[in-house]
Amino acid sequence: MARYAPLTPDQMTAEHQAVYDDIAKSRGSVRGPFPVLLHNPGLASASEKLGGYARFGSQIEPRLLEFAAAVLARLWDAHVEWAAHSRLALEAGLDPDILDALKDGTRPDFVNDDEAAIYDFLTMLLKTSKVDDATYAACLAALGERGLIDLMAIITHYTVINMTLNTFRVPVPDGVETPPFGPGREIEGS
Amino acid sequence: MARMDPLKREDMNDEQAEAFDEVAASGGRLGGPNGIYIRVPELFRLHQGVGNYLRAGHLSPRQRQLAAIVAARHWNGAYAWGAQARDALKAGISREIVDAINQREIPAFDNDDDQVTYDASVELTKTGGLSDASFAKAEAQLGFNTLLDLVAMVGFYTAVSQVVSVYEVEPRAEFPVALAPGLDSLP
Repeated sequence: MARYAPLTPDQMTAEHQAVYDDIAKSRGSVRGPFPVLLHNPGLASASEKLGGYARFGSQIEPRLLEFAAAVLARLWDAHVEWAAHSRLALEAGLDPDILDALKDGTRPDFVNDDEAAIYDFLTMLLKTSKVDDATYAACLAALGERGLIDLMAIITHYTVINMTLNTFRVPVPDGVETPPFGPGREIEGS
Repeated sequence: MARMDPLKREDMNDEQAEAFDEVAASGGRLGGPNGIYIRVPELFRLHQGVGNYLRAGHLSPRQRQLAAIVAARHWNGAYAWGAQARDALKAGISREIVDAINQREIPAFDNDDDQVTYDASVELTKTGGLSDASFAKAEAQLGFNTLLDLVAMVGFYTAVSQVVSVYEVEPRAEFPVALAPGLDSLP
């Protein structure tokens, strides 16, 4: 059961409406975490803008940024984000076997070094709070200086979003199935 | 040694300098992750935008700083800890509470608001969510809108702490409380 109710039209102030309209315009609709975030319109607006950068302003190619978002969703046990970004990662060309391994919690058998670098970086960071020199160097080599900074934007945006989705029990969209997950922090690292 | 030095004002291009000066003039944040993000002025501004909202939203300074230091300690973000512990003291959180959190010990609070804010922040930081009982307690004590900001605050400072850890950003010498060493294993 969701722990929030979307605002009804008569509950919306001019500020809510303006932010709603901005989000609908830039994203096509107000869905996912945004109906709950909209309760605090300043938060919804600032988050939507940072998220817009993470998705569309980043110099990381879609296959990798959607993969990063899916790994973060898995690590934070956030099913709504998993559903969204695993699909987007596949559409952007990620091998489905990688997502299957990620579901199961085993380290995927990577063919591409850039995917391995992101996976090892994010799992090490979330499991230990640090990344060692080799893992940092591999991710920097894969993404470049600007790409690594953009990965920080992805981490920042999706950490806020994943915690919001989990805390307020935002429902997975109708017709979308997410697999039963073991605890995200127990997935296999590098 | 930091893995990436903060960009110096004299080394900035025009776009970076404009963003930097604008934020400096408005009293915004320039240290920690901002010294990294200034390399990408659009991201620097958008990151400021979330931080500015959180300082102006529903959380009291005390609630905000409790959440920030819980996240910074958990994730071992030395720069984030130093800056946020300084601001926690300014917000009236006692040195005893700051020190207990720094030592990964359980602080003793004398009021329900601190207790509930702390408990929710710890659970969010570790698990990314709240159990039914914790959610009910937090919503009853804080109200829905404040709880929504608290979740964003914990998420944001979890990430800030991770980012300064990634780049090994050095804490400033003038921070009054350094992150206690030897406690980096995640509980």
